[in-house]
Amino acid sequence: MRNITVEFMLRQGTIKAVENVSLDIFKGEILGVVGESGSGKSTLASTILRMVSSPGRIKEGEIYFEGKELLKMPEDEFNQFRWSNIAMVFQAAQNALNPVLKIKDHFIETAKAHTRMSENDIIEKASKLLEYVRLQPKQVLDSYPHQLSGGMRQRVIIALSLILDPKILILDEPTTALDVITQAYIMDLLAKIHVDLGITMVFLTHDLSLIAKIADRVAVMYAGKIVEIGTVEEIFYGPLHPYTKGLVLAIPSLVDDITARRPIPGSPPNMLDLPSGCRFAPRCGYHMIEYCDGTVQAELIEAKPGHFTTCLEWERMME
Amino acid sequence: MAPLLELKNIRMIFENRSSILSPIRRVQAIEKVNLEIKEGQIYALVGESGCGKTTLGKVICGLQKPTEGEVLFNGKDIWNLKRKEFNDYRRSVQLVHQDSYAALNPARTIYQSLSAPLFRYKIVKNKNEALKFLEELFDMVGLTPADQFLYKFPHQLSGGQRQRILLARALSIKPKLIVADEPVSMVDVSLRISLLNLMLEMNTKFNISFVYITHDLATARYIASQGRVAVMYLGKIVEFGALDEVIGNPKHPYLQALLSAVPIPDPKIVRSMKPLPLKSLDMPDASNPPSGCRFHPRCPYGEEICSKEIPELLQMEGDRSIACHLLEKIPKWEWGQ
Repeated sequence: MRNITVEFMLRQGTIKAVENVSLDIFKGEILGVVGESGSGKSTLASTILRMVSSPGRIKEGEIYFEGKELLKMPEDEFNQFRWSNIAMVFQAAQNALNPVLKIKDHFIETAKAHTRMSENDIIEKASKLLEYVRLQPKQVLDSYPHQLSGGMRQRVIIALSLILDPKILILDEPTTALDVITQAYIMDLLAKIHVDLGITMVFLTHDLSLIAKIADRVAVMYAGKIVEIGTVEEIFYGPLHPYTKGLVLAIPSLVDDITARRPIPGSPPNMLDLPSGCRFAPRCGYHMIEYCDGTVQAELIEAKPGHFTTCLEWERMME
Repeated sequence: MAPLLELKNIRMIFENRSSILSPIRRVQAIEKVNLEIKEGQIYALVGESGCGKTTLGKVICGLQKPTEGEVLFNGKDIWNLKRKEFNDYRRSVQLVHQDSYAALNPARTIYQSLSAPLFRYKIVKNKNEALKFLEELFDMVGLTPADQFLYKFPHQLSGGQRQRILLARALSIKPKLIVADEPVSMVDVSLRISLLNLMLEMNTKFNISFVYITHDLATARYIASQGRVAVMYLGKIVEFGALDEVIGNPKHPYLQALLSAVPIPDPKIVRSMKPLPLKSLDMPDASNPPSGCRFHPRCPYGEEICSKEIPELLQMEGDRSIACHLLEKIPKWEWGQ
């Protein structure tokens, strides 16, 4: 993804929900994207599938998938492309199923919209996938969504996302609204799918602990920008952006020293009225007036091989 | 010291029918729960959705009359109090909701919403006094300058700010106990700790007891590190005790499973954790709970006795108590493999 900017035109003004974001997704990896509500991660995910809806629009940028540019592809060509190459599991996915359609009709409808598979083939493949996510195909295929529990519905959605053998699976908060035990199970299942099928995954969440569990690399988003990209170890044990560091220190966990927890002061900026320099500057402990309040937007720089940060003061973070 | 509030053999049954012809469905939301809440103590009530923790919170606040059992406030059953005493109880026990937006009237300014209880309980006499009182209060909960918040409507504030306002409202009438039901689950991650710190500060400064209801063991551990925790499963307390002991050495198989499901924000630790020690993933139907121990169909250690007899919540050393037949046989739980 190169220089992606997505705007939302509102009566109060224009919000750049995603601004000038560039990101590489490597084949076979699990890329975690972490950010709080309003950081733009869901918008970024919708952009990949060209599903930003009005009043939002993709203002500029390019997305290359195996060399092909996606944002300029004709609509009908992209419709074939969507789901068979890149599939997505949405936030609150349990409600993404049509309440008046049986589960098997969801599979048939999805597969027919993008390929020419026969109905029997679809059902056969759906059964295999449902078995794979440890559901009983016979019973589930003939059920309506409301007859299944939240965890079961989420597993149906995951099976549904795999029906066309996508190369990339985008997961937007796939476990919010699920209980802890169900969540742990879904996470294990996703890890297994990744190992078995070698699917590239993009995992978007606000929950750093899920990222810790599953991701190979992590991109951290704040107020519409990616502020840091690194391996999961770099992000957790040697962050080079004060926001990342603050986030890691702010999460209560079951094993840490409670007295070491610190909140990040202040609150995320109003997207209609962003600070002119670094967007994190008003909350930042490393804040240097000369640089950080400048008029120039900090861009990602490669501080160490493969480890990117927008922080101008990243060298001080290593002390 | 006598407890501030005591729950005795609380049982809560909800009845409903899906249509007028169908049979009544009985859901046992709470089954025989005993709990003592002492002055100045923090209690965490932990469990998954449907375990009855929110219902128990409502019973404590007197918003839900239990089907059986007693709620004793200063030794007296709240459902047999005289009007004046009942009002005193209502004032002493306050609830903070999960959804801060729903808990504030959207058509009223913060000042209007927060001054009403002050006049109602005659804490202030006039508008000037109310303003002065609220300014001091907002200063305490970290909403400064107060003018910036008093004349705003709820939708103009962020979730974290609204949650502080709810805490300020609960605090304003000087309660003895605050029941906080998932107060931080809708707040941004970076702000959660500051709200938890605020509650801890209110606890130490004013000796207010807290009942912190959550599904999140990590925030429970943070707020109740000096307090106690009650772990609930399908309407029953399965384990109770001092929080650091319970989490440091969990005994009940359900709590062990729950702990191994909690993701730890540390890649090295979380990737070395054991797989879930559970026989089945799905929670049984609360209207038709399993016989004997309610956890037995999912328990990896289950034996014959577990499906036949209901285990009592037995007191061990200190005030630790556990409801499990096979306590001796359950292996010690450890982090990681």
